Amino acid sequence: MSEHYSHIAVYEDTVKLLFVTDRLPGVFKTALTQFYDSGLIASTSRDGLLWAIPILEKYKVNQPSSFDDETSMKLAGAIGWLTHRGADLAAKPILKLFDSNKSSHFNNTECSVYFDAEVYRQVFQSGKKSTRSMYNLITPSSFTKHFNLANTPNAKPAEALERILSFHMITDWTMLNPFVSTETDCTIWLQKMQKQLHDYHEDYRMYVEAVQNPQKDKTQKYLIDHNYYNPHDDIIRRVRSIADTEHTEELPVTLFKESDSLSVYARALLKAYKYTTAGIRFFQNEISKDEFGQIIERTKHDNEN
Amino acid sequence: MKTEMNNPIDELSRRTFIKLSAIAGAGLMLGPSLTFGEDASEDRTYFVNGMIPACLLLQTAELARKATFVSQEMKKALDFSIYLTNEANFAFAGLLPHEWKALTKSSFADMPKEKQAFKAGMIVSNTANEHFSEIYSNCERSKIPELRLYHDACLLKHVSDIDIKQVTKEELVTFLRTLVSPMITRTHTLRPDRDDGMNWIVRMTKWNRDYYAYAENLADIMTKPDPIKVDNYIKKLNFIDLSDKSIRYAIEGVDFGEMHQVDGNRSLYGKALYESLKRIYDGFK
Repeated sequence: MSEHYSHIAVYEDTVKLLFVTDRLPGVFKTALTQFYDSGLIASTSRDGLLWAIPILEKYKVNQPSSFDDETSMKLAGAIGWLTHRGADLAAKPILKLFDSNKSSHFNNTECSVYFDAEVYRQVFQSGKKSTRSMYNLITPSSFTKHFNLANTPNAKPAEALERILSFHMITDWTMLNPFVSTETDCTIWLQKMQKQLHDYHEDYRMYVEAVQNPQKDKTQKYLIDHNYYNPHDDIIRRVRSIADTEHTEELPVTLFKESDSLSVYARALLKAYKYTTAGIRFFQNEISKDEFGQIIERTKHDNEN
Repeated sequence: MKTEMNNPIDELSRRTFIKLSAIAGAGLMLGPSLTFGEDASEDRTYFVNGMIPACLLLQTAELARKATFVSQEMKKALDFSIYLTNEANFAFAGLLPHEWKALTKSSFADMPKEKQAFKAGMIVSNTANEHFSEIYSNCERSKIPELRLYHDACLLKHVSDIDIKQVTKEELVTFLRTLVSPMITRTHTLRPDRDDGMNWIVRMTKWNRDYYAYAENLADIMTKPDPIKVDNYIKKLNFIDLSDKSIRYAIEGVDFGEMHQVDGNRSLYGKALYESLKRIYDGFK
């Protein structure tokens, strides 16, 4: 089970709220302005607590008035990883209700795919709206069966191009990890490679199906029964109305109150906002590491993960 | 808040080929794979290593699929998929700059499927190296990034199933950039190295920005190549000849029954393709 687009959306909405409510110290404003994409990438990657906390801990000591670019990327990354956790902790309890066997009619993998499809429709308006990053493009063809090139009726899908570039990307990403060049034991190297290439591999055709051809019973079960996204939730309405992050305003406290009556997405957003503001307070030495850990619902399991 | 940079693409175009990080350098010094043009290592980012090995691997697999004399075992080792978890996907790990001597020496017959695929990838990578390193070594250092781009553009155009005349540069850029999110989705979520997430985010950010700039450059050359450069980088170097039999069989939907049917190629790419197939085939004998 995996969400991608919903993690991006929660990250984007959380950052909007952080700017508008003026919760960001200068170094974070810089980081999230210049390296917004770093946070976005982190929000779509795993094991975030392993680095979000050490990053904040490392740079909160002796804070200079500005950081170099790479440190800014890491600070933005820490925000992204914390929003990922917010999204996960809101969605996972629902996903756990479903069978983990992919061949079951209702299963947790497909449920997460339907979550992403709904976010694509609601937040990204079926690709009419992209992300706010110029380095992450979401388009009307993001969920097409192979990416069609050219808007002519007889245009062929660019499947071969997609294949080459996809394999090329994953080879590149694998190379971004130091073990590729440092691991000297072939067996361990291959095991680590397996983690990169093999584990959790998702079939993107499921995502295409969920957008192009959503099943009525599945929409009911995955999205409606569990109240995944409700555009009328106050926090969602508010965040959708934020057009720019230049202005700041005091938002009513009630807006941030978590409640079971809210949709999963609204709760994800509220958690992500709570975790990131806690991260910032920890960075500012306003709360201890333990307090920060409590707020982000850290468990022993997180350390092992 | 599209404010990551005021004009990032222009800014990035100038630095598309900067050295990505110390890790890249360290990684690339290790093995022969993907490292044509050794002397240009400082100018290299990952993807700028080029599409040659990946295209060769994909087309070698195409040939293996169509070759009626190739064993099922070998076909399986090359039956990779972007849709499914698949042992054959390890073939792409074989393109990474790391050569395992033990694997090079051991026989395909004694290996599990992942290692067979991995070794097949290594063979393709080594074959690519043998065939193309000379033209990269002979190229003026500052021109290597452009040489790579012309080779990539040329390969992607010819091995793909699109009619490039129907496509505008903008459509192609959008296509290339849109691919990133689905690809991340396919990996479930990205998984940083457990020891190094902090630096990983830095490298991934740079990769992504460089890829966005690369997409622009690539689309530009695919749709509007400079004829003088095509002459210098493709024709004069005998890079690819679409009448080569190995390439024709890889592209066309026809089976073939004997190895010699794809032999006798004139271009470097055509020869490398034949050699990749033959060496893997010999290994499986």
